[in-house]
Amino acid sequence: MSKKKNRQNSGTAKPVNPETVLAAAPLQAGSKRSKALWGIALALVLLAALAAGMAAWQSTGVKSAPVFSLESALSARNSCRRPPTFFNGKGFGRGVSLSTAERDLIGIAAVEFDPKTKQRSHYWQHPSWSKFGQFSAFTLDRQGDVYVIPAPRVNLADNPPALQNRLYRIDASTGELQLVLKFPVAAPASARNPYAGMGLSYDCNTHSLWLSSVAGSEPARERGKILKIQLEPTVSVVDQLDDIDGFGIAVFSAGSQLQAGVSAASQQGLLIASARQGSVLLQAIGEDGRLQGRPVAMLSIAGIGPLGNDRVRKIDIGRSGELLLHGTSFNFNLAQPSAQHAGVKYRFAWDSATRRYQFVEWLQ
Amino acid sequence: MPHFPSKLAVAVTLLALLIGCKPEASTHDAAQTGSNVFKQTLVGASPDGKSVLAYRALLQASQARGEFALALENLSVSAAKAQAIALGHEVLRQRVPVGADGIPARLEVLSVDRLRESDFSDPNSPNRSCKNSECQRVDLYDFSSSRMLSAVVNLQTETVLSWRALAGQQPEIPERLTRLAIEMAQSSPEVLEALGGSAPESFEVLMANTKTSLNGTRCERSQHLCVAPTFVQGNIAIWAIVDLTDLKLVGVQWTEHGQIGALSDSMAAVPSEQSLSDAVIMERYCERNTELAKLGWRLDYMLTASDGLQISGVQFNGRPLLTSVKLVDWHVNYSEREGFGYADAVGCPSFSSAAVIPFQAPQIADLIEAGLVVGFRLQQEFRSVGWPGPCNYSYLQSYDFYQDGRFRPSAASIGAGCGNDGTYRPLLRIEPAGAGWALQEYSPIKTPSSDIGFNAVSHERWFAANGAVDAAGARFTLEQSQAGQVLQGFQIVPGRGQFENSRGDFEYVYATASAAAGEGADELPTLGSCCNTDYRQGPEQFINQPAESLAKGLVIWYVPQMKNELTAGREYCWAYPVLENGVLKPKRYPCEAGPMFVPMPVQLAASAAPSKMP
Repeated sequence: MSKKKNRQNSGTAKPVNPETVLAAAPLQAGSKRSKALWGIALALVLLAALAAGMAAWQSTGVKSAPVFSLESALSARNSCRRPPTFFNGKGFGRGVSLSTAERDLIGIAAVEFDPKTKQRSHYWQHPSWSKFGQFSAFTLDRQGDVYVIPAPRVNLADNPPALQNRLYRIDASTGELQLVLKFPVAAPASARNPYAGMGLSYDCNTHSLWLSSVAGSEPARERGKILKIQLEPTVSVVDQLDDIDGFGIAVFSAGSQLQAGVSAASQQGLLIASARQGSVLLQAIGEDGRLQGRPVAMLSIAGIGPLGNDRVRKIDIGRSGELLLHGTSFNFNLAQPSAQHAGVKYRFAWDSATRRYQFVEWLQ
Repeated sequence: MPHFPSKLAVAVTLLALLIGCKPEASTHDAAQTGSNVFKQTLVGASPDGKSVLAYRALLQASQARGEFALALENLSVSAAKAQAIALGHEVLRQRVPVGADGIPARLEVLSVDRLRESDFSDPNSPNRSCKNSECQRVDLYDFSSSRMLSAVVNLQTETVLSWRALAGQQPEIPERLTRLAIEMAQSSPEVLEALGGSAPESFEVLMANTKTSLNGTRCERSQHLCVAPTFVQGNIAIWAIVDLTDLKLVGVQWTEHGQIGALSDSMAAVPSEQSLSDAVIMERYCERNTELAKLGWRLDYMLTASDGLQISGVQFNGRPLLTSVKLVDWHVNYSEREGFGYADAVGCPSFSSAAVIPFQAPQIADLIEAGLVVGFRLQQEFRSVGWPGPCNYSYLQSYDFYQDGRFRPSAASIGAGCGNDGTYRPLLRIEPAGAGWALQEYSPIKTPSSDIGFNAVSHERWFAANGAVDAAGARFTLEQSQAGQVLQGFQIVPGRGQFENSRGDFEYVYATASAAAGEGADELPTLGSCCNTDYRQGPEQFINQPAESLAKGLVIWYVPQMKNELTAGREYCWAYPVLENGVLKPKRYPCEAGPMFVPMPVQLAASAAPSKMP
């Protein structure tokens, strides 16, 4: 733990304003002229040093790290999502949903369950939905298009590691699934780390996706990425955070209410769940919509729940700002969570007195 | 210019510091052993120490008195009364399961406390009568189901008002269990080793028991009640994980934190059963080979990402014998459900493509026949977290080495699959070392392509399941020659029911030319379909058309087939939990398969020369 703390400390020491450094640089005793000359020399040296330091930070994707603490409960930015129309005429009722977790089906499926028996009563798959192996996270957008990422389940037979850094889109009206992006990775997925995409979150404000990936990560080195993916005019990566293994991800606004469906928030950012620990991190997004600095710890589910070592695979921000964290066992392998402990959810509520999210309960 | 040197030094230092401030690649710690400051060890099976023996005696005495739970002593009068009412309650007596050994589930009273007002403030609470009379809450722990039972007792009416069961809670443990945990840890050789081999001068217990908290420890896999006594001596901090259900030490983690003051940071890193186990296995067995030399054998072994426990560089009495042997996959299919099954890889617990993983380090045990050590077994067990529950699996991978030169790689399933129609097919890959190997197949009859006896196999091919064996039980012979001189030879004897835990191997065998890229010399993530019931188990993909010659080296693929059975008294490839001595234990019915390689005298090997090309 001390190592972790040290790293975070070094991170917070980085965003030094050049003016602050110059003002704070102590001058030694001496004549006014010599003081001035040495001051100029020192300033030049420091500016050079800062330029070198900033260049080094840029190369690792770090720009600056303002202290980012929440001022209010969070608001979700995905409420504009619409259901697709490809369900129509397929015999589904109001209980239809999409699932990537059906044990007997490959890929993604539209499913409906009998409310009495809780058994699946009806399912449908477009022929293209089972061609690319198993999928994991998916999200809708404001047009009803579905975005989905692959991830292996039990084995790699249907999910070759080389084909995991993919983003697919299902057309809202036709149901046709197509590859729309091969996203960048530090190193390709492999037998030692068969995962790439982990979490997806749609941002109504910018009509873009946030994607977390762990591709290329190693036991002692996080090499995953957080990617901002614009959806129009072309699907492409427009911003990224490197060297972080994220799982569940959610974009939020905070600080003010939504106005006519568009947030006028004073704060915006990402919640990024760690794929390695039970922690959820807070990542600032600037007014320009780009990532600012590095994420900071926000809350953790470590030690909570039936097993005490879940990771957060999905983050839901409720209407009142409460957080529902969907837990799962995850250890960078293909072991499946036991049915007995699958699907644990962790509820956190905003405490305005402490300005922090507090754990409320876990549910199964 | 009196200040020049110092100012230049300041400037250069600042420059160096600023450049040196380039951020670390990661914002948070990888928490893996390769880079952490902790040392860890797992504790294998060991005999009970004095404190455990004494505690077991306490439990047995309680059972002998016919008590349903081990009661607390030295309680106040009212607490003792509440405890007696709760333990005498009919609901408790009716619901405590009794094992086939006649011993009921192990229950212990953890605490007896006066009921808090918040416990009965709800007007609909069954405990609302406690508003006007004294009530006590009696907390018990059921070690057989890993849950806490809470009774609310009204002392005035001498009745139990309610019972509540809580699973997934880490209860506060009483002083006697705290003391036991500390004594178990204190007296363990592993803790002594962590202290540099010297007996501790004094132990300060920082954390004898843990509750549900960020620092709480868990036994996530066994689901047992565990606590983590922590000791500090000088600059060494030690965490021990004690399993209070099985009354054993799970493992130990320690660090030389340097100063007591630094301990507060590392205290947050209390290990759990899983974190400790994974850290030890990853560091010692997944990232490097371990050399083993015993009884004339020399080999390296390590866990792979998806091919199980691999042995390599195998020699016997100095002669190279095997390049490597590994377990590529397990295919499990269910015959009554078309196409239903799994292809499970086994391998490292983290950063792997294994679906079934090790919870313990590889084990080495003597093989004993007629009271004498005749060899040794290197074995790795892989498990699903929910085993032996339905659709969760446990696999054993073993290598037996005998001092007479025999060896046997084998694979066993211990269930517990998704039904009684499961067939297990492990894929063993065996690569002999070097060139000059010749494989011969036994034929009991004369055919257009073979004579009676052993016939040379010169090119890649597969062999049908359950082929004929000779009088010695051999289906194949394998011999290595150099310049016309036979160096070594083996009979390959498949299981036909003669080995322990086996009803026969019913094996498919494949011979392929060795060392082609992507054919298994490196990791093979997933090979073949789970659910083919014929020879198409995966290795047939490596048989080229036209078939390659085996003259430059060969690989033998051995794919046995084990059908499970659940019939009482005939269980096979199966496991289920049973209540034994008060706690749940898996009752294991392994099915094991694998070929025995029996050395042939060199002259015999020479006489088994090929009689006809296939």
